[in-house]
Amino acid sequence: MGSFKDIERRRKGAKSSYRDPKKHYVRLNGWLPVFEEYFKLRNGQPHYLTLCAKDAIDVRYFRQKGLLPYDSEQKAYPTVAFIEKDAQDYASIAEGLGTTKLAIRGDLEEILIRPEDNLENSERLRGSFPYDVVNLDFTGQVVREDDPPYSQTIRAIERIIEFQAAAGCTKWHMFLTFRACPQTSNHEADDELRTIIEGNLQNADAQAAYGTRLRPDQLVHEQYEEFLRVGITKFLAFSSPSRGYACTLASSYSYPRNPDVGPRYHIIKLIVEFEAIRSVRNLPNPHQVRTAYEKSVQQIFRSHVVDVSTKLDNAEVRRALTDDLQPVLDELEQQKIIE
Amino acid sequence: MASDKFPIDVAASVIADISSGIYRTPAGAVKELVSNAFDADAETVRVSTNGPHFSTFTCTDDGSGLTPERFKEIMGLIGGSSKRDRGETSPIFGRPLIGRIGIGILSIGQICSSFEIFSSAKGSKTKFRARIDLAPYMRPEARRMQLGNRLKPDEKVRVGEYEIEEAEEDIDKHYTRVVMEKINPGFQKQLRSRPMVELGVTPKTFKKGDMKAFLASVSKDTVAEHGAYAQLIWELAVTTPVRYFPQGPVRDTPTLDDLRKRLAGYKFQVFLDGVELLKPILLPAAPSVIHKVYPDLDFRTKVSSARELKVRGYLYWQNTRILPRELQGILVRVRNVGIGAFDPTYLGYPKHEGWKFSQMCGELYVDEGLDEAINIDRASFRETDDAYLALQEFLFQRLGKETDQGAGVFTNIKAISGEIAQRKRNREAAKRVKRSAEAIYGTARSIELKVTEGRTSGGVKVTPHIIRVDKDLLQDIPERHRDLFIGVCGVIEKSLGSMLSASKRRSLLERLARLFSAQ
Repeated sequence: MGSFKDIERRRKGAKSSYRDPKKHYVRLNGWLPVFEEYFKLRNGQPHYLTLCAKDAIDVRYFRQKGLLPYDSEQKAYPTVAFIEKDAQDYASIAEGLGTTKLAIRGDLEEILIRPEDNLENSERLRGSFPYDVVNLDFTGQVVREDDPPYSQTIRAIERIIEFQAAAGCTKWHMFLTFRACPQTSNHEADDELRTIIEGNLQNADAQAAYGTRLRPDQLVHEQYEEFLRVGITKFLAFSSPSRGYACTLASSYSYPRNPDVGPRYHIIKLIVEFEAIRSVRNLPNPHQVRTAYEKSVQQIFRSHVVDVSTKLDNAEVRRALTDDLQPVLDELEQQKIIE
Repeated sequence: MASDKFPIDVAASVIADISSGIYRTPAGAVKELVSNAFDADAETVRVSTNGPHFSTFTCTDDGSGLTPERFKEIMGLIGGSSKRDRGETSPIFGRPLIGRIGIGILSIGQICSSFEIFSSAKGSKTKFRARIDLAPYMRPEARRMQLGNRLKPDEKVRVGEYEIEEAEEDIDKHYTRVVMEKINPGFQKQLRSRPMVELGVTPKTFKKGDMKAFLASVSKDTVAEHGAYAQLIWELAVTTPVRYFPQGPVRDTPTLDDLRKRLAGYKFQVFLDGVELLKPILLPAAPSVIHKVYPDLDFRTKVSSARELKVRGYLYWQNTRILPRELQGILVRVRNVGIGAFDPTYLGYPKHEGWKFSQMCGELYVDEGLDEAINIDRASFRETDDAYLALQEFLFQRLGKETDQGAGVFTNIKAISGEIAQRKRNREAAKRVKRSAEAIYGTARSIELKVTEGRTSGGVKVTPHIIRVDKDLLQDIPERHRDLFIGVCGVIEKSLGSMLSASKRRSLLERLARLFSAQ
């Protein structure tokens, strides 16, 4: 655990980003349509697991859009679950939202990877599945420098896929946000991802889908955010079929960040759809698994990232985003959440 | 002969015991955190309980906050200094300070064994995080070690340890946040309890979304049967110095405006899991309920040369049972904070007053003189304390004694109840007369039922607005049947008058009178 000074510095930095129009562009254009879909599919009761951060803007936003049920008589979000590592931010969220389906103060990765050390939280989390949308905004890197390539974050994501399958969820979405920073990346993991992509390109169909992109060994150096977008999504595509799901990259977004201190990096946001290819009680079928994987790989290779910065060059778009987010900011202001 | 003097010592375990549990209910412990915020001039306090799991509690206030130095001072010797060393009121809002002996922080020890405090003081560029661990000192073996330890003069008893770190903060930010984890299993169990389920009864649901809805949903029965969480809301709302409903505690009573204004003037809001707490007292529950307010339970007396007791209060009575049951009784507030719950015995009123107790409630705001009588749990009083005894005597006098200024409250209630009963009887009589008129004349016209002093031939006379019956026919008929008898006589006269002779009618009425008198 970092020192208090580091934590505070990070919290202050993160605070300003929650209200960033770039971030809201993805909420509006990427996340909102997914919520609309599940709102219809689940008769107005979509279940949502989020690492929502201090202001819980996503939760408030979807509620204001009428897509998340809110019981004003009980001041409760009956289908929302949140997990927050930081004690202060946990308090802000819990005090601001009122009662939720599940609220856990703890580290999601720790809870999922080391359940024996987090017995109560682990049981509560596991018992709360399935969810229609799982929003994993890790703010950091999927594979940190000090992690092995098969990192704790990746294993946590896999555990979530397993829990969804065990709970019998047939269709769901994951919103995955992470940082792409070549200077602080885990080179061992990058090498492994590159090798896997190169392996995929042995297949003619996959190569056709890959198109005119730079070769993986060039991509990792020259367009690291694109390399990681493809690499991480492809890892999900590989990991999902053996856990019972076919995975599709519905959309993806990227925008740069220039912090005051430290190197420049990109934020990558993936919207990934999971559809069951077998029931949890059936044996995995290797042929089915391979087909699903190959199909996903081609779909990922064909996909293109949305460059959010370019979209925001348009003043009209910027104004629309500000107007769309304003009611949430007004609510936060009105609620006077302390600190 | 001179005698030797021997010291009387306290074992360290006593201090340790006090530190780990002095509050009777979960609300009692949370109330102390809220009181600390009130004393710190906070305008808003937000408490989250993580219900229904109750695995993490948080309490955040926007009060003046603490500097790391002040925090270390407090933790260095809990109970060693009082907020009131620096005056009796809070510096910004001039609120009367609640905390007296500086042990409020120990309330957290009852909720959990480890917690974090984050705070930033107004005007300071520093915030701090303190991690407090009481667990090693709460284990039974640690207690046993302290069991026989004698304390040396000026020796302190360790009840926990903390580590503190500092970071930068905006100079204008001020707050205190407590995050409590490893919640004590007993505390969790109590909050999760659903007594009605355990009794095999479908639990009552309650609305917690706003206090009016909450009050409406618990006002049909008791708060307790809605479970411990409902009780937590109730107790916190009742005891903390939050404001009343705009119409509370009793509707349309300008004489209680000062109490409403007093609490509203503190500008103090408490939110529990997103719900703003207001005092759940809004009487009468329905406009049709007959009620009376005794708004002037004001009292001032010198208990000793240095101690004056100052009380402002009211009593309320209604002609039906007050619900929820938890609202029946008297609540003593010391410096605006409720001590314990509404006391249905009225501080031990010695005479049994039966149903009246269930129809009354009241609050006594004691602004001065009673602090020293409060037990360490802040939920009860030392009943032998002079000020408490003076308060008790004052209340008993107001309730029961006939004085030059008028009858005691109970006598007054009895008189009002008598009047109400009489009015009810009159209303019922009027209804009977109307029914008689309907039977006799076909319309519910206004008629009089009268007694004829003399004796008529037939025994009854019916004119357009009066039915008269001979007095002798009525003499054996019970009072409660007389109107009915006169009505029946009217029907007989009206329907059979032209068909029967006077003597036959008379005979019929006499037999009818015998029948009525036999009832």
